[in-house]
Amino acid sequence: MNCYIPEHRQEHLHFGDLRQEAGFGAFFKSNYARLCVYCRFKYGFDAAGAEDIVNASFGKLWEARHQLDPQLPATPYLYKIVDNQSLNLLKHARVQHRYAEQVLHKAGADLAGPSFHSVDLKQLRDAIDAAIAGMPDQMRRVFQLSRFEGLKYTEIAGELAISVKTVETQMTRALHRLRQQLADYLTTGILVVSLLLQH
Amino acid sequence: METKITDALLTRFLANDLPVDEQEQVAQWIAASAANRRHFLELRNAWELAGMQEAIDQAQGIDAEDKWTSFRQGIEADDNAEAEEALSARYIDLYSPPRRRSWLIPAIAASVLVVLGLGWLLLGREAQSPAMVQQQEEKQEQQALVQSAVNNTGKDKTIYLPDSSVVTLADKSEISYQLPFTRHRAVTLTGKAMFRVTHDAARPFTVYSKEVATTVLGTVFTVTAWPAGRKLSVRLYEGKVVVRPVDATRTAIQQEVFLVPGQEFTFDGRAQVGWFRKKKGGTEVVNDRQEADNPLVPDDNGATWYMFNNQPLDQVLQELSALYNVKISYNKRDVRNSYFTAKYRSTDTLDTILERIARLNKLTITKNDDGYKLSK
Repeated sequence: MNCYIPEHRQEHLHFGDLRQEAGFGAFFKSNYARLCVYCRFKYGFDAAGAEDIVNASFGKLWEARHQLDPQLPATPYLYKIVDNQSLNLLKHARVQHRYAEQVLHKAGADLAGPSFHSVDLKQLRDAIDAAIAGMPDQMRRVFQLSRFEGLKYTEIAGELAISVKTVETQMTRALHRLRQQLADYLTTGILVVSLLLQH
Repeated sequence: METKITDALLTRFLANDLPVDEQEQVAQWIAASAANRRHFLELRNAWELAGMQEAIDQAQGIDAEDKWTSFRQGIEADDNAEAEEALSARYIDLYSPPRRRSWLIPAIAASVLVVLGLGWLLLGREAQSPAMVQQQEEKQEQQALVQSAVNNTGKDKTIYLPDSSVVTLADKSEISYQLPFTRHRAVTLTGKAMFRVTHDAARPFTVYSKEVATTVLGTVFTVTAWPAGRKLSVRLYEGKVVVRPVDATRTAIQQEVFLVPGQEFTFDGRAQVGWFRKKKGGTEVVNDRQEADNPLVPDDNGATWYMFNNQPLDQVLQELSALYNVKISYNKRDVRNSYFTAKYRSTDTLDTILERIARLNKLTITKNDDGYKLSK
């Protein structure tokens, strides 16, 4: 990934740094790709949808940049805009897609804000690869067939000549394992969920 | 019959391997308590993140420099549009005479060489219908491409337009639009859809549906126009839209109608009656005349005002002349390359209108026996 602002500096960028186009541009470029991944992960948008949200969010930030306290950090606010834009879109879209998924997408399963703000995409990619590669063979095959090939449990059982019960056990264990191994990148926030459920 | 919700079941739920009734049970369980939600989210996050490799690869392939360039072009266009709006707003302060307050007809900026793109000329039979305009543009833009999207999935479908606007298309509905969106963004709708429109003052966004065209001033709204239905409705959630007839000569809607958030405009095609509805009760008839027409002005389909939208000044003067039945003479050279955007009520006198035009174009106006004369 192209890094325009060193990660350690980025967290200390303030609204004051964004008033000039050059400063804003550097901020834009160093956050763009990460925000796209954030949107896709958190709200389930496709690539184009995520980019739309990210662009619209930077647009909001650009419009507001002179009204914001120059002393305050910019990154958390940017993520907040992205969250609001995404939630609005989902709320208005009223996607009638699997009742609970709708609620939960809206709820925005939180990938902890601050921990994601500075995540290195390459590291994250490596961590996911390692977590999957580290699974025992049968578990990995079961998981991959379900997660990436979209096969039903019965189909996986047929394919690997094992029982559906075994598929179920392996899937459950695989997910637990992932949750543990990717814990650094995953934290849940429950606040948004409860707010949204009142609607 | 209660099913115990285990992690095995939640995993199956995420893997989309549960029958519908069990999905419902899981959903209810998740909604039942904060602890349940937290637990489910932990699993859901692990599940989602495990599938993010492709998303990450794609994101890493994004050329941020490129994205920044196009973003910057976007904000520059917006800044220009804002500057122009500010300019025309100033004009109102300076020149606009005090008006009787009317929510239906808000003061509209009048200015020269400013494309505000608020709507089409709405001048009775003279009006060029949007369909005609579209046809002309089709000829001009040979490589123009008509895109359409049909939704027969049984549920809402999200469509992203190239300008980042988002359309939520209801089942059995269809939209079509012509690309590229150069001067305006025109979408034709059959059925029902909600639009979240990206603000772009330079390219107004219009939805054509049966008799009604809805032009957006940056916003979220729903249009319902089923082919067989009598009624057509436009519901506004955020921002501001203006609803006007597609063809002023063919329907009873003779005025532009501005909606405020929460308001819905319904038009009954057979009865030719339109009305507003707020979220909670209260109706108001739209085609209720706001004021008596000026007897001096020919009754042009009952319209109580006229709009010139970035028309050549030459044409504007000719229309005014015909409208007020007064001779207006001018040297074509003086008005060449001048354009005019303005909205007048029929109660405005020709004196006032011409005075404003003259002022903006640095022309001198002389009134003589058989009419007016404009000169440099």
